[in-house]
Amino acid sequence: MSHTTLDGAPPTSPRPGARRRRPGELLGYAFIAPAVLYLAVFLLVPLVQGIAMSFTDAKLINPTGGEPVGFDNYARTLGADRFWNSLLATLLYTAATVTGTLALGTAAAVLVNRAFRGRALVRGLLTFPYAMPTVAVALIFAWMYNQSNGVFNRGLGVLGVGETGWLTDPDWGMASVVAATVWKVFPFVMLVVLAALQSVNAELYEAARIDGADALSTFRSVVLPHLAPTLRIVALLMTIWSIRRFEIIFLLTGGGPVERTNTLVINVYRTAFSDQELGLAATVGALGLLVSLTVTCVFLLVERRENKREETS
Amino acid sequence: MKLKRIVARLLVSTALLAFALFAGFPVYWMVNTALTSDTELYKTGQDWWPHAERLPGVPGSLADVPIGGWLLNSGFIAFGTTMLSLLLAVLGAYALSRYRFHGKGAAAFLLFSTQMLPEALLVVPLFALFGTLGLLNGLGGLVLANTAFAMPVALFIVKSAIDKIPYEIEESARVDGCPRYGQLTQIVLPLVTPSIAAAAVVTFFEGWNEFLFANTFLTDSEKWPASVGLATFVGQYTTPLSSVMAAAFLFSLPAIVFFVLMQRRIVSGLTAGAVKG
Amino acid sequence: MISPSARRAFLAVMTAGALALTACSSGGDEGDGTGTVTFGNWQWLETGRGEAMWDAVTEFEDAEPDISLEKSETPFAQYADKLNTEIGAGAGPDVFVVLDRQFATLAEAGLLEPLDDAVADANLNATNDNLNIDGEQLGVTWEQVSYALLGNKNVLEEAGIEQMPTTVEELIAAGEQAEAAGFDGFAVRHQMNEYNGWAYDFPSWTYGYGGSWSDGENLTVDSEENIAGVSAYKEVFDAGIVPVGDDASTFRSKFKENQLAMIIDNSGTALSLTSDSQLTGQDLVSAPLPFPEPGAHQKLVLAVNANSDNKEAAKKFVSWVVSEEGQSTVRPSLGASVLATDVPIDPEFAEANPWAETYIELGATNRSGLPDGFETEADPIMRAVLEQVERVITEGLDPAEAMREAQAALEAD
Repeated sequence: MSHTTLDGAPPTSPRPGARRRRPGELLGYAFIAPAVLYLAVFLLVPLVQGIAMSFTDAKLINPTGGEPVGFDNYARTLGADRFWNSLLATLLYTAATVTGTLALGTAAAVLVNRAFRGRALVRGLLTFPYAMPTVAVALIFAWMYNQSNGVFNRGLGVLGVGETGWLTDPDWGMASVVAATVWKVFPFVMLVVLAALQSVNAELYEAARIDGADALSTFRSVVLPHLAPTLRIVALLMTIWSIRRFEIIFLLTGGGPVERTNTLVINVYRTAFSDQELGLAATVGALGLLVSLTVTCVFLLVERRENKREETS
Repeated sequence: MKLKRIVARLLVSTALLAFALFAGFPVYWMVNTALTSDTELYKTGQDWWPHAERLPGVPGSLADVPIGGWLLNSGFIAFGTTMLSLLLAVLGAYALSRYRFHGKGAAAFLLFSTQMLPEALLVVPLFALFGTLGLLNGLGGLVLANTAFAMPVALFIVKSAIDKIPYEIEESARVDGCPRYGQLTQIVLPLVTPSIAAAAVVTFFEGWNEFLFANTFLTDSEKWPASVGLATFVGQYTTPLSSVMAAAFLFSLPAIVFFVLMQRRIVSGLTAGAVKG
Repeated sequence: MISPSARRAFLAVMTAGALALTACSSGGDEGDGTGTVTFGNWQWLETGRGEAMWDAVTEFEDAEPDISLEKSETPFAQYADKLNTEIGAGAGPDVFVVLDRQFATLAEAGLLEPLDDAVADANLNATNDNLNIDGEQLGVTWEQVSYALLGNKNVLEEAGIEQMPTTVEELIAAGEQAEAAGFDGFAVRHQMNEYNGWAYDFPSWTYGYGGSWSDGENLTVDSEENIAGVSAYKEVFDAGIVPVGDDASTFRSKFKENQLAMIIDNSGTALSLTSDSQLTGQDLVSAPLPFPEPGAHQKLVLAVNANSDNKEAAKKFVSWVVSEEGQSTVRPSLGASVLATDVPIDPEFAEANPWAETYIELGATNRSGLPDGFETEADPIMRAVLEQVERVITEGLDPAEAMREAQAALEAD
């Protein structure tokens, strides 16, 4: 199996036809230009402006009228507890979401990869959450989490357990938001892992089985190594998506209770819109982007090392 | 040995059941809530089993929620996003797959890095940009904004499909005098139709679901897509929750149906595309 | 890596984009006093009442056939954020309703059009005085809303509560009585994710104990009075009579469904609760806030966007609203609030809504919820206060310590 690295470098093993690619630079530019120019106008320019804003004291009601303030915003942001709490919330949210989705997604994929009656139905059912629009997810989870009338507390009430403030108790807010996120996103991991599983060579299974390995050790020794590259990239995607995830947190808790779910992105939104401090908001956003970039770079380094190791082994 | 297998099967079945319950329950509860009156929700308690007999009354109760217009707007945004994204993505994918050129790595990284950008950071500069271009309060502007985030994913999906097509096919066509553009439309595209379909579903629902930009850019409630319309019920004055849930379910239904139908295609597209970028 | 040529291309695109942006912020035009005027207000989306209010204001089109009005609609939760974004980008509705704390910021930034000529003939009452900034009338009162204790008669009767509480102790006792009868006792907003609404109705508690956010010179967030107000709020929550986690829409639904006994809310809510005939005006009972002192009022301000390209027409509209004709036209849909002029309450309305009287009486004594001398800082102040209040009710933080922390955080900025 071949896998290209993220920066578009040549694959480790030749693909059909890849060797014969012709230089034809100009045509290549012509084909890629629309996409790149599009992103430059609609993402890169706003991004550069956003970062430029982080060095000014721009306010929401006068976004272009900010005076340059150098690194003041950075000093203020890094000197305040709120940023560090926010970073902590982001890391917690990301770690929990990535772990949760990878564990559940992989488990689900392994389960539905086996042949059984009604498999198509179950597979379809398991993709429901991913298909559901986030706003709808937020509406139904907010209702299920409702303290006095929600189904969770009513269910617990039947079991004789008292009410929990799923979205209002500072000890539970983050867990509740993570649970809703994991529910929504795990099918993505499942689908991707499923596709990778389907390319596991049946002979490998057989070989392992003849060796007398049981299911678990077959999984560990044959399937997991095969899945590793896929899992690594899914983990990266899940991580950078979690760092920037906005809607479900915004709609469920808006950053509360007591800032426990005030992740960097929510913090950016609140600083920009509620506090109207665009300069400060852009600073938090730029620092958040730095976190994502760091994660990606670390990932690329690990990926390169792993690829080398696989090549030499 | 036999006992061990039975136990193993039982365990697997239980796990499957647990997963099905976990994934399906919120959707079930949404339907159940849509069939429950406010009095039951807030006073007497919601039944565990849905009142299916109330189904005929749902269209009437939806009169509180202008869901029809919202869905049309969502559909327009989604359709526009899909068309524009695919156009840019197919061309770009072809370039990344078939050409060598300087800055190719940078272009690929630019495309990938879009997945890191927080919308909350971009929304204010984009708002100003759209104000200049006269794109605020219009569905067209939302198509443009959504495409920026949806197109790269589509591009990776299509690129990986093109990667798998042997180059010899195009080469023989070229020898026959078929121009480069013709090779793309007449030879490559038909071969990657499944992946384009997968990319179409993914971009369609990115546009269908999008909330933040629509919420910030639109001022006229007649232009609201369903995501913004439904979000107005969070914390707003008193609309029966059953109507809101019924509307939310209608909003989810097309996405669920399409995803289930296209599941296999999406799997192959995603693995090849988003994952192996 | 990026090749030099690609880098140059990128730079060119970025520069072009940046240039296009700087060209955008042009001022508005005066307009010739005709055409379309967009009117921004979250109230258009309020169940029942929004439509009536829109019908009332569009009667202006009969008076000025050359001008047509168009709604700009944003739900309350996002209204302030969105209006600021729009105005900052040189856009936004021509005329709009804003909360007084937002008004102060917009006024200071010079984003509001002076209305002196437009309102010269009107009989403006004293509620408009603090909308006159440095000799310019930058807004007029749309409505000044009071807060009262509002009870659901059906629930109160079933629970055997005969009198509306007049103190916090009585409120707790009545709430417990309602809980014992299977109802929820009492509800108010209490979560940061409803910040805009919570900041709107929380000051009544601290003002009710004689507090205020400043003395005109310095912030007094940690004053004894404010601490007493927060303590009272905490007592009510500690008593277990509040359905914790219910946002305003949920507890208002419960109130409508005869499941909740009492709320502290404004007259707009009372109107909205009775708008779909599930409850009538006769089902509501109102009483002064159960605090020793009068509470706070909030003012909604009507103002004209200085960026508007149809200011003349927008000002004509404002003139009409504050005219005798306009005031009596909008009066019924604004219910029991104090308006820009002393227009009497609609007799028919008063009869159908006996609860309205309390609100009108309270309007005479309650004070502005804005921090005196810190009007433009109202949002950061409320945010700092409410963040601490949330900790008081969820983490059991001591009210005195909470207010001291809020004060310290504000002073550090």
